[in-house]
Amino acid sequence: MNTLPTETTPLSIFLVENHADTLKWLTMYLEQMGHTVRSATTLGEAVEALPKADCDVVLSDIGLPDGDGWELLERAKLPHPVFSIAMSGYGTGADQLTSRAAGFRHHLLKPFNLRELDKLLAAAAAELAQSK
Amino acid sequence: MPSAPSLPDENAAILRKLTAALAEERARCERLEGGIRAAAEREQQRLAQALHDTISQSLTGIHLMAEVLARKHAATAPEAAADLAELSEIILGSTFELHRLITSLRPPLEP
Repeated sequence: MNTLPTETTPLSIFLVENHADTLKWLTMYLEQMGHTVRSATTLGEAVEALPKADCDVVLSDIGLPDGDGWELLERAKLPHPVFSIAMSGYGTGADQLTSRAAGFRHHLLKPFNLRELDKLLAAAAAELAQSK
Repeated sequence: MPSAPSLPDENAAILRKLTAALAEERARCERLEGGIRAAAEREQQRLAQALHDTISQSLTGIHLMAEVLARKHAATAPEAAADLAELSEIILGSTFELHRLITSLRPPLEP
């Protein structure tokens, strides 16, 4: 069984998720890992808050009540690219291509093992360290 | 070879009418079939969306909860944590099954 990883680079994560339980448990996990989490539950809220969040990673659900997460990166008009991960219950090739085209580096199929998320966050941290 | 006898004008007119009526009826059947197919696809899409928005989302949340708790208690309560991890895997398997069903119901995305 996996335990909480002991060596984690703390990241500032902007989480967009409209499902209350998923948001709660994902936030709890990420905070336990030492990350800072800011969140939004709708596309509109995310578009408004993301540019001011100055985050290292965007972790966004695709199915949102007022639109889809694929619109987020374009509409938020970020001053610089951010390591972005899409989360969706749909994972066909077309879904993954759409995520890539929308600027997401990875398309995480829900439900996912936390190991998968850990790997992606480790990649984000490594990339961030290289860019500094 | 002898040529086919020509029909009397009256019979030819009846035949033309019947042929036209048959073509019209065939076109009506095709429109109906198209309508039924489109309605069935809309219903499948609605069902896929409903399954995704309700049961799938809940299972995803429960799976995440079980996995987070399993990791959290791994050091202090390893037996309970192992049970939670097992539960998490079972939920994961069920959710993947559900997603396969949802994907089969959902029309393909436009490229």
